[in-house]
Amino acid sequence: MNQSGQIVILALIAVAVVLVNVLIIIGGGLLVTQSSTNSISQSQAINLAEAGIDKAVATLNATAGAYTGEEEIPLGNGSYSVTITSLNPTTKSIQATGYIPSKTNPEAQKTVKIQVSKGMGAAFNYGLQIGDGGLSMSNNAVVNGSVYANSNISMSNNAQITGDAYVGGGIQPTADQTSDCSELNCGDFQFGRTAGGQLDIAQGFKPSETTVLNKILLKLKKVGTPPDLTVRILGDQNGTPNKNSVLASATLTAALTTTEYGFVDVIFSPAPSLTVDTLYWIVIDTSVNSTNYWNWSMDTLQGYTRDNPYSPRWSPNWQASSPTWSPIPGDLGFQTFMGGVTTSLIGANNVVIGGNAHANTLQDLIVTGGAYYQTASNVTAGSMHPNSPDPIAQSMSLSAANIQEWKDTATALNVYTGDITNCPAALAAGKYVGNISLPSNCMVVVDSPIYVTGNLTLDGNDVIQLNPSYGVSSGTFIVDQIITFNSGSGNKILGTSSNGSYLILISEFNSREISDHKSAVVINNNGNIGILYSNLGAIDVSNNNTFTSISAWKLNLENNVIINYDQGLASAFFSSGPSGSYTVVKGTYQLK
Amino acid sequence: MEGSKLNISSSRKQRGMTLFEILVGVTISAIAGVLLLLILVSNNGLFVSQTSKIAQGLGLNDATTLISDDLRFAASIINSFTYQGQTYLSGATTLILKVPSVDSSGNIIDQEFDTFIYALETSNPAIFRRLVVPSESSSRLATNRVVMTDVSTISFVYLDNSGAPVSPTNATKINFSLTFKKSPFSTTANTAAGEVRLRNN
Repeated sequence: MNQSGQIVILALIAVAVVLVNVLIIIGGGLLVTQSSTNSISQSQAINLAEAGIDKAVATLNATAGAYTGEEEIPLGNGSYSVTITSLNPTTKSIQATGYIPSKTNPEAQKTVKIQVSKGMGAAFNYGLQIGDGGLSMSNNAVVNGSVYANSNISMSNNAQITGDAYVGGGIQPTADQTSDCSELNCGDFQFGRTAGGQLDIAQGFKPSETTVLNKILLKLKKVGTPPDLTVRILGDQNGTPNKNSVLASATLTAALTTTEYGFVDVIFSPAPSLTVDTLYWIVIDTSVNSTNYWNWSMDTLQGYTRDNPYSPRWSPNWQASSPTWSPIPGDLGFQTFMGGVTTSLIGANNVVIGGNAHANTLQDLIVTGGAYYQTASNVTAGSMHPNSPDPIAQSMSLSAANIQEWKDTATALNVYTGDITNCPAALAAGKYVGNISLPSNCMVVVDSPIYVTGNLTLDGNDVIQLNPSYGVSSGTFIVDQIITFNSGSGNKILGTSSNGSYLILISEFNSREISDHKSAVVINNNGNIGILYSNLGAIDVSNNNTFTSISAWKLNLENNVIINYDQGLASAFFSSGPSGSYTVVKGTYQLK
Repeated sequence: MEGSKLNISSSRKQRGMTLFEILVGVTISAIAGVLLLLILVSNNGLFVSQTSKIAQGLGLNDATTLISDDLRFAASIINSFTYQGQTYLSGATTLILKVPSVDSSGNIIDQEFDTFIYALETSNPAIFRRLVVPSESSSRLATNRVVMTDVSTISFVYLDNSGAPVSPTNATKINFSLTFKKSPFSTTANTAAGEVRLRNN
């Protein structure tokens, strides 16, 4: 009876083992739950921080940059706080922190930091972009990139274009039809603001010849940041636009417009063929947005008479089954440019196009890619494509309105009076009334934008560089009159040292209105570098210079000039510019 | 004398166990022992599978958080990168990120980039690694750490803003999924997935 056994002991040991295992499993399960909850909270905190960033950008734009941040805003099951720091007059740093569940007792906290800048982006898609004045390349001149010209290209012996070459179907140099107001007669016609109201606008016109319509210019300004517009050419139906007769359609890029009136290009592809003295309608189609909308310049005296007796009209929906059109009490600002001018790309001995060549007429060329033409003579190509349509004309990268707004920004910042003939170490952003002539071996650091009302002359071995504080942004240096780089060692126009930053040198001198087409920019021999832009002017580049990109109404490249196109120009971002809105600077997002 | 006889008689009444008693005792002990053994074995099986799940769960949380944070910070996807004699190509199981470099204060260094490589180990594809190759001026250290072990499948899908598949270098967002191998005592494999947009693109 007193015999004792061991089974209880064994059982107790087994129970203890099981109990320990179960406790470990429960503990591990709690650990996984805690870890998962923490991961979710971290994600939520990031989302809250990004919501804070979005709100900060929107509020900066709504308050014209006056927003300074806020302490703590509850949102969902957490909250966020925002801090704004100004880095320079146009760039701010935003730091937003998300908290779960709250800032005072956070279980999860994540911070997002980003920079925003008040500026615009512009695309310089070609090594050379030429307007109606055409391009001349002398012996051994080389473009390492592509070229687009709205008029003839002439290339001398051994000249090369390593990329594609386009010659746009010729636009006639003067406007066929014009409507504009003079100061006292100018009014605003607002559209795109009210639902069911003035959303689709039509202006009538009659061409004076039978040919294609290559482009129109529309005198617009924007409020806020409206999207791009659709512009159509419609036939007429008893004095109203005929929705069943759409002859052409194109996009008007909102970025080329500003908050001040300016004429903006709209180019049609394919170009519609119009008949002389026939009524057609320019129709703008937009969507409704109470804070982002448009104004079309209006001549209250109705000076344009070729659309008589039909005045411009508006409709809530031009595509309705029975659209209603109401009259507008004025003529809207526009210009039409007809085409039909035959253009050509003419070479000489050993002239090579490394990519494709596109023009109405090709002559004396070696084309590595495809040759696209109507007429060809002495052309050797990788492939021949006769009966190809003429390329369309291209708008320049910066509109007149863009440049005017930079000028206005500079004027608002500072105005300096008097010629500058010494070597200043720095030039602040602003308007300089007078001429700037830098002596040799002068290094100047500049802010943006700079606007000079006179001439700019660089003597030799001068450097004008954008202030490094602009980082990856680009800047502008605008000169109303003539820019001259004198002979001698090279002058340099440089962005900051960051990749993707450029300083664009712009001349507003109008060579077209001068009988001998005096040049807006004269670059003499040897070693000059930079980026040149002249919407209205001719640019002459002499021997042995290397530039990154040139855009001009007319361009002459002398012997041995090299253009080395930089791909970054396809997405240049200007730190201070026409759009007036803050946008995120790419590459500055940080998560902490 | 009779008392002594009685005493002698009492002490002689202790008896041994019968064969039957022994057999019964052994049988009961065996049954109890087997039951205890079964309990221990199944409990250990449960312990192994559950701790495996716990470890995998924790590993998936860490891996997805790490990959998500790196993707957010990335500027772009690099098509190929050679490091220490090995060439990596971005694809379904390899991700090469171009990430802005940072200085010692944690600020982005303008136009400087580090390279982050997520790839399966060549010699043992069950191990998923993260390599950091810093630029010259970056304050990040070169690292090579194990992100996951017992990997069954890794999948990276490269998408554009509209969600359409594109080549790695054109991607603006990445959809990824990570799956552990099924443990011997488990009936399912643990998987985690996510989709993140490159914020610096």
